[in-house]
Amino acid sequence: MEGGAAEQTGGPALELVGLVKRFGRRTAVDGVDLVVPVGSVTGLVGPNGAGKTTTLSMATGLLRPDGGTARLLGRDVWADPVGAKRLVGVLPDGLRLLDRLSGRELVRTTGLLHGLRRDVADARADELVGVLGLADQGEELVVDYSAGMTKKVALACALVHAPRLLVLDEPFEAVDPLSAAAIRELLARFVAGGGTVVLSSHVMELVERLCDRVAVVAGGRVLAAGTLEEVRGGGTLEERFVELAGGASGLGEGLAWLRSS
Amino acid sequence: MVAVLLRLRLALWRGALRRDAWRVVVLVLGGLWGLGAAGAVLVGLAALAGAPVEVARAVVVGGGALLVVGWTVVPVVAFGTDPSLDPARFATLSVPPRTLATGLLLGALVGVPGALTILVGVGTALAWLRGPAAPALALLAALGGALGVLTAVALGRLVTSAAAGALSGRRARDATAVGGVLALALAGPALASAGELVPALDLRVAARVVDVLAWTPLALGWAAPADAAAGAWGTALARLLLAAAALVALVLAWAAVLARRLEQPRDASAGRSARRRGGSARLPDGVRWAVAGRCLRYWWRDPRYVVAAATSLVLPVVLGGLAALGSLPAASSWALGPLAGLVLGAALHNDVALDGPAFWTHLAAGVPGVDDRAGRSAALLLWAVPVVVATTLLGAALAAGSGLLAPAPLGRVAGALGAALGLLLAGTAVSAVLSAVRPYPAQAAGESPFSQPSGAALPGALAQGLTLLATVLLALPAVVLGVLAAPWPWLGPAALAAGAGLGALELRAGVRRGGALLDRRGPELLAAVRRDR
Repeated sequence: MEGGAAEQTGGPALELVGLVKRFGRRTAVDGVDLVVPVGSVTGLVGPNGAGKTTTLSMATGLLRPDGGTARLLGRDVWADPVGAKRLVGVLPDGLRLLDRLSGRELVRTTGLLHGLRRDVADARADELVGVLGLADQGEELVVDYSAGMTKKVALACALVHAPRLLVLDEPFEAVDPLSAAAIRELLARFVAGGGTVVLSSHVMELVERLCDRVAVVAGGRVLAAGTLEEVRGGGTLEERFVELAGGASGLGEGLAWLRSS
Repeated sequence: MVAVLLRLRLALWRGALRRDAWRVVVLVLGGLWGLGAAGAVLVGLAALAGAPVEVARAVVVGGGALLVVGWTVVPVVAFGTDPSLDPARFATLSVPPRTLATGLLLGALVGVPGALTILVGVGTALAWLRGPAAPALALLAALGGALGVLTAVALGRLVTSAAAGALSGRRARDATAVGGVLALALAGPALASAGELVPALDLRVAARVVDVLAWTPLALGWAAPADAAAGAWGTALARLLLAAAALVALVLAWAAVLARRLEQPRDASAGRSARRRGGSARLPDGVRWAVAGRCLRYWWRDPRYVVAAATSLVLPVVLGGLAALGSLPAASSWALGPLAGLVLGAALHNDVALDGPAFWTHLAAGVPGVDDRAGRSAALLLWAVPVVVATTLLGAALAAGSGLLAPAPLGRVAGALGAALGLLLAGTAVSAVLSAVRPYPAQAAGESPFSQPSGAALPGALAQGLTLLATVLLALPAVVLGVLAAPWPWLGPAALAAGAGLGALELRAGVRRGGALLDRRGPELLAAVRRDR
């Protein structure tokens, strides 16, 4: 909520107001408010089951909220879905890809689905596949890719229509360090060119290194949000996170039998 | 350890039942049906007790060998129907392969098919309740039956494990799945024509076949009581011992294969490349053609689509074959084309569910619903229209070639063509709407096309029935005109116009209607297919 008064010029890249989602009796997202200014890299951190994926799904038009609004660069995602979706590239977590296509075909097809011209989609697919180090496997079917390669090709799909906002759910999961470096560089270039990135992760070091803004999510609510410095307030992000999300280990004297000696 | 594995199997079963109430219904109905069938077999076996030894021997040995073959072939083809006791899942545990083999062997018998097989196998004793030595004979038969059942399962597991090693690549698995479905679909007609040949077979040849079978592991156990009943107790015991030895050898061989699989549980090999470009390079520009290009590749590459396409042609092929052989009146081959149109028209009625969670790609890209529907329909029609036309012409040639109507009157051909195209287009239109209403669970990509996802049986039957009914209603003008073109060939062109013209209009309406639904309910559809996983 306290996010971004200073550097806002136009509308914020992403603005969530009072988002609510219930699954049966369980409330997964319980009134999330969040403002992501243009040009920032914002990290969404939270424990498993905090509601990060649900929130990002509602922000990108994949899951209809039970309440609240989501705006992308001033456009209401749920009132003008097509207009909003043109502006955003999505990398969801745990959803299959159209994996009977080859990597290159998948990126190209995604571009075409976004309405790109054929020659543009072809050229961009070739370039993205090359930059992400998939050129040698470009003709293999995605179903045969490793987890890391799948992530990379999904990222290429999120980028192919030149969105202004990238929403990435766990983009670094199962990605090896070399590829992670390539992805970081790509994201840095994207932001330098005026883009905005929202990503979720539970790797604190990564968020500290990559993001200039952070939102801590737990129990379906935003517990803290703002610039990295504001949120961590002198300590490390991990300390602040554990403090906010309340994570005593609960280990006590148990598991004594695990000791080797 | 064996007990632990058996309990695990029961627990998995209970868990599956608790998750899904429909499974209980299916289980109870299937169990009742199976019990009825087994009961009939047992009655037959008991009746055999009054038949000559030779007849009882031929029936028990032949049936027993078939049972063993069945347990061997079905699991290989039906790859992945029951992965709950997949050996690869035990790779991280320190279970000795032989213990694991024994446990999995007995575990395979837990369940409805296993229980029924045991019932029938041991029940063969009923056929040998004859003469003064009846108790001893029955005991021998029960023992032989038990050995036969265990051999069946062990052989099945051995072949499955060996095949799993050989077929570890995805492409090989795809090919087996498709081949298996086709083999099963064609098995019925093949058996029927074989049945027509049987009376011609010399009975002595059959007896010779049984004699040979009786010395193979397929039937050693089943044949033992027949020897004893004929007085050759020594031969009977020898067969039993051999059967037991064969069983031990099978289990050991299986344990060896298992040990190798446990060391290399992952599918190491992957498919190579997708050079085949699927021909969509020549499709026009535009979002709907991008969808069509994607779907065309799926029709070619995804075994679920390949199986759907192939099985939808099985019925016309079988009917055509029967008509060509003279088992059906030649005039019935006029129905081949319309039949193909009807079945292919329903091919897309659950298409969003086949996408599964990957449907998010369309949703996130903001693909307009109309383009989504139009692209999917176009991909189907691009190959289905030529196929339906060819089937119709083939049917006409069959009908004419039999001399009934040579040469086929053009008007009547046009009539059949009209009905076929009308049904295909109307079915595609209905599917375009229905698949956007509520997907029902479909097999996930990469699963065996045999595996029926839980909870799909009833909604699936309802949706298919509804699709076919609506299709026939919408295509009624073309079908009626097509039928009337038989006596009045001048009605043929009218049928063709009704089929192609009205069908095209219906398709356009269906695409618009379905597209509007998709635009409105896209996120709900995605949520539904995700829930069904």
